[in-house]
Amino acid sequence: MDNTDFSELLPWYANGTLDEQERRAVEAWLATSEQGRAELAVLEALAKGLKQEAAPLPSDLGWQRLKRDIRAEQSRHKRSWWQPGLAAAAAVVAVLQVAILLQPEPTPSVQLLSQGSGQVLADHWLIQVEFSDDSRWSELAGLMTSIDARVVDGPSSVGIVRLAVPKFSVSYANLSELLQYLQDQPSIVHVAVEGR
Amino acid sequence: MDDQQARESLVRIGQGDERAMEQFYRAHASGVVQFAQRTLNNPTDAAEVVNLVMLDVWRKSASFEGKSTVRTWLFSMTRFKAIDLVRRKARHDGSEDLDDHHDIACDCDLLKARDGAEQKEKIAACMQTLKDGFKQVVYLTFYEGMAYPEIADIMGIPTGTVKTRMMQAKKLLMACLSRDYGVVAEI
Repeated sequence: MDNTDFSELLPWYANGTLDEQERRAVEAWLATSEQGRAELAVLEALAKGLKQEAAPLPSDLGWQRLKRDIRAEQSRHKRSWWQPGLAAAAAVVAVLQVAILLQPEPTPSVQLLSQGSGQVLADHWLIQVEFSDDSRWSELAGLMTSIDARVVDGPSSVGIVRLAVPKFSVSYANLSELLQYLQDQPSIVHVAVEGR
Repeated sequence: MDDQQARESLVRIGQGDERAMEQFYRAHASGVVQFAQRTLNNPTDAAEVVNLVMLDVWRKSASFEGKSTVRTWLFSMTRFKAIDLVRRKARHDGSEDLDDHHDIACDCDLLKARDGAEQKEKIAACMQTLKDGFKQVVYLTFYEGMAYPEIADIMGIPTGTVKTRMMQAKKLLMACLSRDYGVVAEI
């Protein structure tokens, strides 16, 4: 390495980020170069002076603005989440309905779904759910299976899905427990029971 | 917040953790705004860039692959956003012409330059005379304490170019600092 190379490395010698080989080479050069030592003194004073320039503290206003923009974006995504997926979601609902119809023996759930809302309300709660923007269908299907829920309707134009959930289940003792369980799911933004 | 803590924050941010985003913002916003100001020279525009960069952190934290430090990733985004804002506002000082620059002769007294470097106001005034590309290299080296390979990553230029820009910036600064206070504008 010639003298020009060493002088080029001085700023990073001053800030302590040279690797071991470069650092030793610069130190060996500095031991023999008065010009190099004089330049280093200027750079060290410059580094100190620059660091004294007070960094602006991140402001609360800046954070509030960012938080507002993040939440506005989340709201936009929630409203539009179902729109590109409407065809896919409708296809899933159709598949679920077909799967129920193809069962070899009709289950009480199938009979309930085909018997109209009166019987459904007797043995099921009708729950409206809004899923989060980044939910995957595999998560939602797993969640609905865990509470034996059936998709009754939706998604609506604002992304609400109506589920019929059995009133009697080993998974939860009562409606409050069911609602708490659903609210705790990261994939669920909002849940409400119809008629309450 | 060190790099490991920043990486852990990004994971939580990717899961939608707003509190993690706030901690990340408070740890990094001042560095981002300082760096943005080296390109924008305008606190309002710098604040705009901070907001844009942090929104991108919120959206893209999951895309951070860990090949660089979080700080390098953050400053790279800042540089792109700042340049984009300058282009949109059509304010442009020909920074990309820096590397065609002829070698700058340093007519400077190093002792006077050292004295000048001890005066905060003189440093600030001399820094303002530098073109953005020079200012960014000086800022990242001395204020953020970065190694030249990391600066090359952030600025998207070869390491040789980082060293050349620093050599030129150093000569300009030393010339400026060695002049008597009040004649900075001659540069």
